[in-house]
Amino acid sequence: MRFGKNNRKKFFGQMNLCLLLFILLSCVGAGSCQTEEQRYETQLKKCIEKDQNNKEESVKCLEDLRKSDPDRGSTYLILARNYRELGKLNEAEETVNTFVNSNKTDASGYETKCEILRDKGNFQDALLACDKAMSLEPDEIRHKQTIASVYAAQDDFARAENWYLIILKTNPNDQNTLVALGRLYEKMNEPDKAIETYKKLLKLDNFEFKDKLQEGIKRLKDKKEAQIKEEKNKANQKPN
Amino acid sequence: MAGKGTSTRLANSDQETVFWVKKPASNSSREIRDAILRDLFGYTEAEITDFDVKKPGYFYVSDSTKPKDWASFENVKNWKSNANGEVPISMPQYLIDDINLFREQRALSEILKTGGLITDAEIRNNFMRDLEHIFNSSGQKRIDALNNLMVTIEGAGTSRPQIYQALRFLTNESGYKNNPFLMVAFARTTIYNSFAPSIGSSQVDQLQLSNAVRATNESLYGVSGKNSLTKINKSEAAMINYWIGDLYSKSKDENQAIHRRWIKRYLEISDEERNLYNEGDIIEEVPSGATVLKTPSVTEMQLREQQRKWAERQKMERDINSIGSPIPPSDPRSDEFFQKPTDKIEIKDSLVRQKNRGNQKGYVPKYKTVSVSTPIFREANIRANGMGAVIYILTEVLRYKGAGRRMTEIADYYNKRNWLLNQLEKEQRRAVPPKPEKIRQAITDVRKYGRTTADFFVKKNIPTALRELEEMLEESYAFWKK
Repeated sequence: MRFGKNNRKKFFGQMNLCLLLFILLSCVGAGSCQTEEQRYETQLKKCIEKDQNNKEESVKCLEDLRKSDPDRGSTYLILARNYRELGKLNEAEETVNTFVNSNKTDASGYETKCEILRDKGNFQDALLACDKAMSLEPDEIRHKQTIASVYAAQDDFARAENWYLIILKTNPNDQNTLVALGRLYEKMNEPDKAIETYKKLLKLDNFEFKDKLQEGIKRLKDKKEAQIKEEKNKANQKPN
Repeated sequence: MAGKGTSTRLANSDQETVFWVKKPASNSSREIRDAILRDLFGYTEAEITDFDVKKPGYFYVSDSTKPKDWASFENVKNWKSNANGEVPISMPQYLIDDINLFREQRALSEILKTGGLITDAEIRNNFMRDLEHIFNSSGQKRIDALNNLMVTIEGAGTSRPQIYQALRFLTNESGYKNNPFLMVAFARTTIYNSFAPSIGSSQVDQLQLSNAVRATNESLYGVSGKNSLTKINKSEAAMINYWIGDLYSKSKDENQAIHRRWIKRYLEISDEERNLYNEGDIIEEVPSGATVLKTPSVTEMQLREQQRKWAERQKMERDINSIGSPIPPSDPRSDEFFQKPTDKIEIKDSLVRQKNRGNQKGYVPKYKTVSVSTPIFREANIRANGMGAVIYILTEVLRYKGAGRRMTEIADYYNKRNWLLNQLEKEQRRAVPPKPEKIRQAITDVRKYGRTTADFFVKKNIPTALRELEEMLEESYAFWKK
C-alpha cells in the first residue's frame, strides 16, 4: 500500500507527537529536564536535609557535590560550617578560605571564617574576619553575636557582654542573643543575671523551648543554692 | 612617649571653630556631645546611647577656646603654606578623633561636606568602606567630597599595606591629586608607618625608609628613584623617632599587635613581592589557581539561609539543654577535653617549610609543628618555637577550659603537661643547629652580595634573613661551645 500525501503527513505528525511524549517521559523519569542549576539546587537541598538527622552523612553528600560541581560557592560555605560543627577545623578553615577568596563581598563567608578561627583559638584573626563581615553588613545581628562569642571564648567577659547588650538595645527580643547572654552570665558565675535573662525568653510567645528552658532555670537555681550551702558550710568549718 | 598622640593633644587643647570628640569630662560636655551628634549628624537617642555602650565614656565634644600645643593642627597649617598657595580647602570646621567611632556613612559624609579633619582613621575596620560608599555615590560629588577631605592617618592600627590600599584607591580618583593636604598626610604617614617597625637595624631602617619614600613619591608626585630619600628633613626624622617611641609604648595594645602582624607579613615576603607594595599594591593572600566560584542563585541563597537557621536552632537547643551544667560549652568540643586524657600528641619538625629551601644537611630547624590531637586541639597545628609552644598551648587550655573544673581534672591536665614537656625535650635533644662557620659565611654572603644563599632563607628579604641568621649564630655558638 502506498502512502498518499495526506496519510504521510498524518503519519509523521503522529510520530512527532510520540517522540515528544517519549522525550518528556524519559527526562522526567531521569530528572534530566532540569537545568544544570536546578539539578545542583536539588542536590544541595538533599544534602541540607540530611544535615537535620546526620551531620556526617550531610558532609559526605556535600563532599560529593563539591566533586561533581566544584565551582558552586554554597557547597563550600555549608561544608565549612558542617566541618566546624564536627570539629574538623582544619578542613573547615581550608574550605571557607576557598569560599572567601572567591566571594570577597559575601559576609557569610567571613562570619563562618570568624567562627572557625574562634574555635581554633586564633582569636585575633577571628576578630579580623568578623570585622570584615561587619564592614560588609554593618547592621547584621549575627555578626555582632559572633564577635561577642569570640570575646566570650577568650574570657573577655566585659566586651562580650557589651556586644550582646548592643544587640538587645535595638532587638530586645532576639532569642539567640538572650540565650547567649544567659550562658555568658553563667560562665561569669552570675546566676541571678542569667536567670533574669532567661526569664525574658519565657515571656516571648514564639519561643519554642519554654519547657526545656524552665528545667534549665530550675537546674541553675538548684546549683546556686548548692553553692550557697557549700559556702556556708565552709564558713562554719573555719576556726575562729 | 605614651600619651603624646593626637588624642592627648586634643584633650589638652581648645579651639573656637573646631569641634572634637573625646572622652567626656563632665555631664555638660556630654550634653554638648549629644546635641552635636543628634542635631548635626542626625543620630537618634538610642544610637547615641549605643555609642556609650560600645565605648563607655568615650565621647566628648567641646567648642571652647583656642589651640595651644596641638602639633597635629599646627602641622595642618604648615601643610597649607607648603602647598604653593594652591589650597582648595578651608580649615576644618569639625575635628573627629578616631573615625572608628563614626562608622555610619551619614556622619562621614557630613564631615566631608563641611571639610572636617579626621584623625586616627582606622582604615583597618571601616574607613575604606565608608570612603567607597561616598565615592561610589556619583561622579562630581565624590570628587568634590574628596577635595574637601583632610585626613591624617596616624593610629597604631594603621599599617603599611593599609596605607597603600588607601593610596591606591585614592590615586585612582582624579580629584585626589589636586589635594595637597591629603597627599602630604599620606606621604608622612606612609613614612612613619613603614619606618616604625624597623627599630634595631639601621639597614632595615634605610631600606624601609627608602622604599616608603620612593613609593609615596611615585604614587603621589609621579617621580621615582631612591634619591627621594633626601626629601626627608630633620623635623620629619624627629617625627619618625617620636612615632617609633610611641608605637613601642603601645606594644601591649591590641591595635599594635595587629599592626605588628601586618609588618611581620611584610618583612617575610620576597623582594619581588615587596616591589608590588612599592607600586601601591596590597598583597592579598589569594592562592594562585584558586577556584573561582559562580555567583549563587536566589534559591541557593535560600538554601544556605535554611541550613544556617537550622544550625542556629540546634545550637540554641543544645545551649538550653546545658543550662545549669558545670561548664557552659562555648563550642562543641569543650566537654570532651578531659574525658580522653590519653589522646595522641605528635611533635614533629616543620620539614615541609624547609624542603623547598635547598640542602638540609642534617640541620633540624628550631621551629616545630606541635600537633596535639586531644579533642580540644583536634587537628590543631601550632607552629611554635620549642618549649614555649607547649607551655603556650597548655596555658591556653587552662585559661580557656580549666576554669570551673574540679581539681582532679586539673591535676590530670598537669600530668598531661608533663608528658608533653618530656616529649618535646626528647625532640629538642635531636635538634642540631648548623656550625657557626657556616652561618657566618651565610651572613657574609648576604652582606656582600645582597642576597641570601641557597642553604638559608631562599627568597626571604635581606633584613629579615640577616636578623634570623644572627639569631641562629648565637644559638649555634651556644650549642657547639658545649
